[in-house]
Amino acid sequence: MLFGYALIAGVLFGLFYAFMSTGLNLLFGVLRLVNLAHGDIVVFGAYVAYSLSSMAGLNPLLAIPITIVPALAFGVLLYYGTVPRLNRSQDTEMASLILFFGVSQVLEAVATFAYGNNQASLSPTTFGGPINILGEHVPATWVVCGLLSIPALVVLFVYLYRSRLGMATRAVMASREEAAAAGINTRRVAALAFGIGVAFAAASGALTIFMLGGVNPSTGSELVLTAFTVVVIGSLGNPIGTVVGGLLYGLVFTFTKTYSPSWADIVPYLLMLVVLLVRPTGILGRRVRSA
Amino acid sequence: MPEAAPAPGAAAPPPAGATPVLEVREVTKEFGAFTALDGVSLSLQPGQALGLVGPNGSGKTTLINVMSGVHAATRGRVLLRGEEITGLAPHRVCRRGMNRTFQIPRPLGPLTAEENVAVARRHGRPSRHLDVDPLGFVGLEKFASRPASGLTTGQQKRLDLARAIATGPEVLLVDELGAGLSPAELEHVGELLRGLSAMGVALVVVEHLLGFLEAVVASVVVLDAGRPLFVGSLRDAVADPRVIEVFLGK
Amino acid sequence: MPSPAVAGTGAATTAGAATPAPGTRPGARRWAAWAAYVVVIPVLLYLTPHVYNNQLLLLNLVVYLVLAQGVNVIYGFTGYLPFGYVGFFGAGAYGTSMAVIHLHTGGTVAVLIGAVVSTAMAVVLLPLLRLTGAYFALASLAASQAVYLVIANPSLTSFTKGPYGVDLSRVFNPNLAYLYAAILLAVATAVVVYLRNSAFGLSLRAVRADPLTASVAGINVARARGIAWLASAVLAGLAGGISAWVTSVFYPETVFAINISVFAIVFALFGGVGSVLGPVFGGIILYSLYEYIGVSSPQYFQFAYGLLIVILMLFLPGGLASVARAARSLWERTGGRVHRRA
Repeated sequence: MLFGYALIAGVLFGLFYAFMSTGLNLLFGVLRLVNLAHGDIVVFGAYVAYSLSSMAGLNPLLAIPITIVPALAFGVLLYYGTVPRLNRSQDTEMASLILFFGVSQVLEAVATFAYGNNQASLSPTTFGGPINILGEHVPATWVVCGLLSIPALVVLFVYLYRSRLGMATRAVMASREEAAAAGINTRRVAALAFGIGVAFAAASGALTIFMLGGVNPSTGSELVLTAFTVVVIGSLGNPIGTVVGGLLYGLVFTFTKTYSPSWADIVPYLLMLVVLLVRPTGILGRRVRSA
Repeated sequence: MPEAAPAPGAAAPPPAGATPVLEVREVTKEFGAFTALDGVSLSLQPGQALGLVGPNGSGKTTLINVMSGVHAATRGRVLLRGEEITGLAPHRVCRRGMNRTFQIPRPLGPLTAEENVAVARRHGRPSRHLDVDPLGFVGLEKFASRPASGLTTGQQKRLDLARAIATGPEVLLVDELGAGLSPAELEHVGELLRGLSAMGVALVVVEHLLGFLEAVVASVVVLDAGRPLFVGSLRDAVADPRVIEVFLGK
Repeated sequence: MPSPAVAGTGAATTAGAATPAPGTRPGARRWAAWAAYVVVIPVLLYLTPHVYNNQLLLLNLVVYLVLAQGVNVIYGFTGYLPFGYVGFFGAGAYGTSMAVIHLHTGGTVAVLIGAVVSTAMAVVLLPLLRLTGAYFALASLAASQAVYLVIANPSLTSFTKGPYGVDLSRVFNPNLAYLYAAILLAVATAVVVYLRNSAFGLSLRAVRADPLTASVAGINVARARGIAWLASAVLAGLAGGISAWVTSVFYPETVFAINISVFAIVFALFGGVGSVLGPVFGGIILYSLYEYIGVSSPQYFQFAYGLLIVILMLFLPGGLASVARAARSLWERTGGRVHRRA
């Protein structure tokens, strides 16, 4: 039954998209930084998973723990290297957008040097054959990846709402000046938030290679637009919103792919435009950014 | 506190029954669950100078924002020279002859001081420009070619005033011009506002500094938590027990 | 005293003698300078095929210079970065193609129709200007991708020739197209000169500096932005039309490629956004580099311009134009005495 399949796949994809987009939400929502390299960092994680599996014969999901620390370090260094200068410009948001776009081009070029232009993919039966859920046969990879997204999102919640660093991060998100006045080292908190966002992105890469059927160096640009749409739908800065946005996006994605495949590609872009023009505050409604 | 300055705006009392140049009728402004203004009304005669006071958070700047078109009132009306301007965008309010300054100055940073003024002059009411050079009036002629971002806060406040004057307003809303100024600067801007009054510009002056206010206005509206608490002369206001309570607490 | 020079991505500043004092009428010398800016380079480029006869490559260069100036108009003067700028280019290309194929017009009329189509698209997208910064940039990208996917969709093939490509060889006239391209470059530069020196241009700079203050000063912010947006769309539409006319056979991917927006933006940034000739010089340098190394090994070029963007944003947000300005003011301050010291 098509409907059931689309529904189950939609939830799995939704969870995955939420995980994939969560890093961008941290950066954009907390720090007002537009990391256009987000998608390419996800792709980097995917390539690590690919290399682990196809070259070392290891479980590709090992990429998740492996990439966390290097990605965190990279994020923190990237922050310290770029943001202090960006903050001095007239329009930090636009300056960050352009700068991180440059970073994304560099990352894509490096990926092309390392892996060439071809699609890198892993077998859809890596974790076994299709799984029967409520009567629908769903690829095992989707189930594994969708379910793995849940603990990742839980980690995010624990970080943001149950840890001191998370509380400091939320304070910086609410008001940088007041957080500084309260004695928080805003620069360090921001750098760590940046690193954590990058780490989440890289970690989601291993799942990406299964959910999307493969990656190539230019997949990053499509992903960052998707992540952006999810974050905007779900309301900027709100992690629950990212989950809601991800689920909504996932469902729309699978339903259009199932029922109207030739127009499916256009849906994400239309969705983004509709949300931005009709309800820019997103479903959970906060943080308007209008001129 | 300057004593010799005569109460401006009272020198030429408007004829009875004259149309107020600015009228606010029962304006309410809600931000979601928060009511910033609740049924505020005021009336300003041509050439009059009116003070707008109240503790922090009482809605003074919100009222200025509603009058100048930056926010749309949830309920109520604003009339300029008897014409409805409720809900008009700021640039239209400007062209109708009312302008305002900002509590925290927002100059056009990369533009020079004279460009800041030139922009406003071009879009103001062409038929009635105050017969002064705005930069000269506020004493910033020497900084004409300096980018606005390179001015001190006090200078930026004066530039804001010059910008507002350049549009040739009949009504000028002044939002805490005195805050953060040195005594000498305060004296200077007080003179500027009295000068504007003398030229026939009606003023609504939001201020915390009583001494400064006394030198510029004769009557005040006191706001408390978005509601008008007192309307009358400044002298009576400072003696009114309700007003004292609101400012100093119980 | 805070330095006003840290102005971010090269907003048009009143550097030196670049702009006359507001309210004064420009003298004959200024008019001559402006005429030079507008005319000299297009004329030189138009004559270049006599010494370097790859006219197609030169036309592509000129088209990119026009696009860079178009980005200059919208980004340099309103601060809005059109990541989806290629959408107007593609709309112009397809408008032109449909005119040739379905309306059987000649090349010139077809190109003009292309501009009408791109302008119509800009009008439909005007609501995007309500968004700020990043939201606008990404929304414009989404819009251009959406338009591309509609045009490329197989269900519309009978009209748009869909993914199978367009063939305009019937009206092929490369020499006339090149002339138009050169004229278009002159027009684009003239638009920038106008924006730098007119009251309207000053309004735009005011809006970019602080939209609220500008609004209170009497500027209709939405209208000012809208005019700049439409102007940039017209330029891109004409460029797309001319490009389609010359290319003769192309597919949707060719004229809606995101790389086209990216190159236009990088050229403009490198040359100096907000300046008159920055994007032109930036474009000439980088496009030549691209033709030299980029076509055969695009990933090296991608690496290079990615790095260039990062370096520009960190250290030289004003691009080449800011270097030129700094050099000129250094020259003025030393009064030319640098040479006499020897």
